[in-house]
Amino acid sequence: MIMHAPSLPVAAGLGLRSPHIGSVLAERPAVGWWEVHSENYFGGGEPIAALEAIRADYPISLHGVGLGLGSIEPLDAAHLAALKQLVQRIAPVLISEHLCWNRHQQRFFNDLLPVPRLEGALPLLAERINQVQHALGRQILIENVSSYVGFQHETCSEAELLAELVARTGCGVLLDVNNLYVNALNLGTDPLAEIARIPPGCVGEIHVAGFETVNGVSIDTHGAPVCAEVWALLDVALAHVGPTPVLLERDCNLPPLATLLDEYAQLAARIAPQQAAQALPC
Amino acid sequence: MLSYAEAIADFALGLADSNHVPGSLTGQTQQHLAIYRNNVRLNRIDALPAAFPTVAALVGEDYFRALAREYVKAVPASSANLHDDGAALAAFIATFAPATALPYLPDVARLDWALHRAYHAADAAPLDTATLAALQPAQFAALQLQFHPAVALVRSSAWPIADILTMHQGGATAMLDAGGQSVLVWRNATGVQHLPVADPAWLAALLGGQSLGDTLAQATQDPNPLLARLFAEGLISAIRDTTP
Repeated sequence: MIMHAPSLPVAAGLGLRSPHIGSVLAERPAVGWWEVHSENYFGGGEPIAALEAIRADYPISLHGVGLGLGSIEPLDAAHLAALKQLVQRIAPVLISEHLCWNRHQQRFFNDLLPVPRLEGALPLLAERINQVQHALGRQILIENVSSYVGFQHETCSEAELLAELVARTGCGVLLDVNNLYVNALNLGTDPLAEIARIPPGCVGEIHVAGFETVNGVSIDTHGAPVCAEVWALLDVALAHVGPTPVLLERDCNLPPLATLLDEYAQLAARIAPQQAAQALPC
Repeated sequence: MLSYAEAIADFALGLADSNHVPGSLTGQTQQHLAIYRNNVRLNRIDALPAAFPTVAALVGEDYFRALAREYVKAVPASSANLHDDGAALAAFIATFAPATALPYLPDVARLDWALHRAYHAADAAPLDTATLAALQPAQFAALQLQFHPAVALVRSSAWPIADILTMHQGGATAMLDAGGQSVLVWRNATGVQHLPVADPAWLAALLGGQSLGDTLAQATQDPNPLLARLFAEGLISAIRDTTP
């Protein structure tokens, strides 16, 4: 039995990165909620104390980049224990991880590596997600990733795999529409078909971000503003899944907080009418 | 047709060995494995300077990046958390031929690492005053102290690592012939702290788990001011009476 976590406000949120923490604490900008990378708050001291101070005024979503759910070897027990401790201390409204792997034969790869959608993927991923949800005592969301490669003879699409994982584990989906667009550019995946394959009720959060093109390949750097096509995909996704919290992510080429807040305002304005219209009772 | 596990093994091999042709990938995207190979390295290389600011300042940005590149090539990551990367950098520098002209660099790297670990170390409550007050003087010698996880003592037998650190934080120029120094690292409410320790042997023994009586007997200078400081800063988390 998975306990469903209290949901985020159905509003725009912003990715919080450490260079901006001082400004956020001092200025308390009007942001609906913040999302942080879980691993940056493992341990104690100043980082977690700052996050606790922000948590007092804003809902927090914890977004993990290091659990590597799809790795063949067992979950890293120390990593899961650190996440559990963080969850207990911060009481986040949402916890998410990526549909990826990051370890092989005791060697770690610090990246979000795409899972091959081949025989064996589903039982392994379902078992790992169940294990994490059991350890944390609550639901997690799984995010679709951007990919630069395709595996031979894959048996389903990423959205189909996510839908099956939702059915088997009760996990939710974090739908990243920038990743869908990057995959469309690099691999020819149809982003509209992928959105349509996601069961609407399971999406707990949507991500938008920017990518950069290097040597003809679109790289998901979160290092640029959101492009027009991704804004349009966001509209499609919201029309499909209904009012949902939407996060603006930025990691590379991090601008000053004020600049990021301008783009955040653009997101908030864009989703407000749709969220409000859809929130009306039929 | 490959299984899930076989495809992951093939991809992992391609990440570690640039000569491996990843047959699990579609023909058009095989060459894109290089993007991941690059990302995996760059994510580590980009994170290392923050953990080693003194080393980076001593050698300059370009040199440090080249050093980090070689380190990442030689030592696989042992954690998914980038803040954990760098534990073996000091030892790597000691074997790194281009760094032999800077023989103090490994010890400075150990100090940087202790400061970095102190920043990220878990929180721990100090020993409660009631436990302390209840102690009888006769018990002191047999006590073993357990320290806050941020506490570390970095000792250099040949190099003035405390002066080098101070110099890079805006202090006076360090004299390389000043001799070996030791630095105590800890964390309090204001952040990570450090202090040169003139008589480190007894403190090293205490941190290593020897009893107070055995360690204080090794002191060559009055240990009481530093011992009092350890308690005052709340760095003793627990005590254990080793009386048989």
